Amino acid sequence: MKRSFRAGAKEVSPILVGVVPFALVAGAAVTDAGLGVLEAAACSVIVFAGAAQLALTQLWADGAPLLVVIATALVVNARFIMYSASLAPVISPEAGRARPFLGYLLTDQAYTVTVLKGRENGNRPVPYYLGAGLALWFTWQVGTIVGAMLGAVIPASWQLDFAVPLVFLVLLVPALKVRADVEAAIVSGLAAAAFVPVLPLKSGLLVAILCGAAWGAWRAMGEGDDA
Amino acid sequence: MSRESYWLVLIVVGTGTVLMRSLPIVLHGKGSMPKLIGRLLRHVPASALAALVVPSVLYSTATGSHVFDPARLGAGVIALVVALRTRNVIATLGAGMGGLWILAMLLG
Repeated sequence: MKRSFRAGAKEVSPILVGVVPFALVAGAAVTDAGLGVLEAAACSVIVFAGAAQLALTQLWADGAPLLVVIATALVVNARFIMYSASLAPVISPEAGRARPFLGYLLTDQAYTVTVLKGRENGNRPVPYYLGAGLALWFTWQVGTIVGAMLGAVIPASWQLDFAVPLVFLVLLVPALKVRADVEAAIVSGLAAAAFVPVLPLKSGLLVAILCGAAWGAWRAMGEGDDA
Repeated sequence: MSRESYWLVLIVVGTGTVLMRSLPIVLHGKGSMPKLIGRLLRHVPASALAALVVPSVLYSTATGSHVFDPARLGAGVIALVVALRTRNVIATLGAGMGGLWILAMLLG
């Protein structure tokens, strides 16, 4: 049990190096929006999902209607349904009464290491997943708080907001697994370029994501790819 | 907007997110997800990330409206090449931010 927990924490640590700059940017975005370190920490604890935290904070700061802010963040996080469904056969059978409490720690990174290595070398997947998830959780919380404190002192002329798309760019590369992903990304990127500046109520981002996901689903169906 | 509205967003998004993360793990073994939902969800990561990247790389919003910014586009292309080759956050951040500062200076 302890050994698997430690293995999970240890094997997620190379990924944590990449998570730190992301956490700093996510924290800085909150103070950039005119909020405080308390809100930055709350955002990380309550939402605990970088892309959604950045999207909701920027939309909120731009004055988007709350329904649009909420819907966009939820659509960005809808990928967790897929991760959770694919992780379930690995961890649910031996999770027992802990089942309802495991989902909170689910992230792109904890999902990836647990699916790949959670059952290797005699590891037990539930403590392995908890080790990976908690290591990431602590890194994320500390990183966003530090980022929120730094964000308040970095001058606007540095254009630090540009770090946000750069971080997403690094996450985008491994998300392009099959041809339909590439096409979905192109459709959604073009739609975002066209819609974000013009659609009312800051709904361009939401509409663009839905266009890309629908395109990808339609293309995959045409190719009879049911995997 | 008021701070309270930000907290409201956090609570609603946080609740929704924890449900999306938890339900499939909790309900495992009690039926399967409808096929169409699975198909739509499969391409959400690529779509969401591309939609978050493209407008921020094309436009500057410093003036309050979306203005095409060639320095951002140039720096974005440099960062894309580095991201594709290294898949490394720090290298991509360095190349993109460095590229933006240099291009912004050159294009004045």
